[in-house]
Amino acid sequence: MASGIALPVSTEVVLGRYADCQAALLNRDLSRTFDRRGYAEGNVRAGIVSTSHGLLHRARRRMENTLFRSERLEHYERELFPAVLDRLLGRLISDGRADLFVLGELLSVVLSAQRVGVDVDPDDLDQLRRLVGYVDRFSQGSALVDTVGDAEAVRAVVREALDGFEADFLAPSRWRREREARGDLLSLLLAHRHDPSLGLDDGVIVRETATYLQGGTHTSSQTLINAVDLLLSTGPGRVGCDLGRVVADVGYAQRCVHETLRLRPTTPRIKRRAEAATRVGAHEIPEAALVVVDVAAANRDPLVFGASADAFDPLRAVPPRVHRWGLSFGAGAHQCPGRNVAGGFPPPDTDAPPGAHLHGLVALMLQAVARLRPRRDPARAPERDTRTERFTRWSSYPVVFEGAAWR
Amino acid sequence: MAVRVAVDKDLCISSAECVRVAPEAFALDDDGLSEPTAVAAAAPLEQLLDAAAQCPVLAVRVGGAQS
Repeated sequence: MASGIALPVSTEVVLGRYADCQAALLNRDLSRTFDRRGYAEGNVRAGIVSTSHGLLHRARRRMENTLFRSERLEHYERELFPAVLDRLLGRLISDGRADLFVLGELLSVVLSAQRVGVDVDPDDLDQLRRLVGYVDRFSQGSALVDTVGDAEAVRAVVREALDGFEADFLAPSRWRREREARGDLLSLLLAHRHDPSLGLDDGVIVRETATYLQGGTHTSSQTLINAVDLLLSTGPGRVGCDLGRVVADVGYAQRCVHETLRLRPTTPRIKRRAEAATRVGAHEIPEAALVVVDVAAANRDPLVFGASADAFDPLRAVPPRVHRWGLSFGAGAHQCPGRNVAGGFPPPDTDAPPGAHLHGLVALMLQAVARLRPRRDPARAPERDTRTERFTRWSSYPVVFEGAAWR
Repeated sequence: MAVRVAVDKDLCISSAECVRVAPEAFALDDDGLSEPTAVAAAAPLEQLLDAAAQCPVLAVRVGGAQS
């Protein structure tokens, strides 16, 4: 049985130094347009912004980036997400136990659905679980380049999920927005669907919406798990980790999230295809080469993060204008548009106005979970997601809560 | 020494990070693309350099060179 997908390449170049990886992500000759048959066609990635290049990509990003303005993010963080946490968190815990993977996805999907324009009742857990079920299958499709299993089987799963998602959620949401626009992604795509520069058709609209929904859900949950896992870990390689401080200080919670992202990027190896012969640092890259940007290695580059680069140190100093999360949100034209939603703004220096700062939704989730004093469930071991080469991902992370707040 | 501030609009993807970091120095035009304001050159140099560094596509140029 064939595993993964074979990208037709002449050469593979692997980059692991921070400077080279950053330069590669900024290099406009390196695209995300892999073998279309293998990666995009029949998959959730076909025709979406993430696999677009050049003028089409620029036009799509210019339009979609309007959804991530500071005013909207303030509304998400200060009003909408705290209400989601209040309303939902307690319902996701049973007998003092929960699976952080499930909990993180269910919390994240409510706001993600609102941003993209998928109507869902936040009080209907069955409906939320159904939506998250689609998200999980879209995640498999999005990570097809790194799948361990049969790529054809993954594509079949994704196609079925797209059909179900469209019938179950997107079609009724679209019907409402064709009558009244609502300032979300779906409304935006529908308003611009006749603009030839954007390359939109009905199929692309479904997949673009599915991808943004998945992008705002799955990786936030994975980062929550990894943050809790790192905070609960004992032994060397941890500097000043303090779950109690996470509860008391949302700024510290944010730094924990950033340090988690640095050490455990949700996409440890980002891939690019050379559209033309180019150069990155000392590396000559021929046309059609596959370039592997080893973000996991770059984020631990001692030249940037020092001799303690492998340690979990949320308060570490980083060089000026180097992100605390390293390259985990990417860089260049394809930098994750949801970076500020999930991770917040880069932590301010001491004289920045505190009211203007946003900490990101993952920090809020981490703080909410930390209040409940989680520890690993001794009866149920966590499980890595073995369907993918993205080794920082989990499929299950059971915890018990010692705090009384959930009762 | 006078600071020069420019934005390469061909590169700009309208992330508005420069506006967030240095709201006195950058604004979005009618097409949603960034451009320096009339007082951009008077903004603190560190703030301008931060804005340039936050631009995901390095479209912001300060002092005539990319950051």
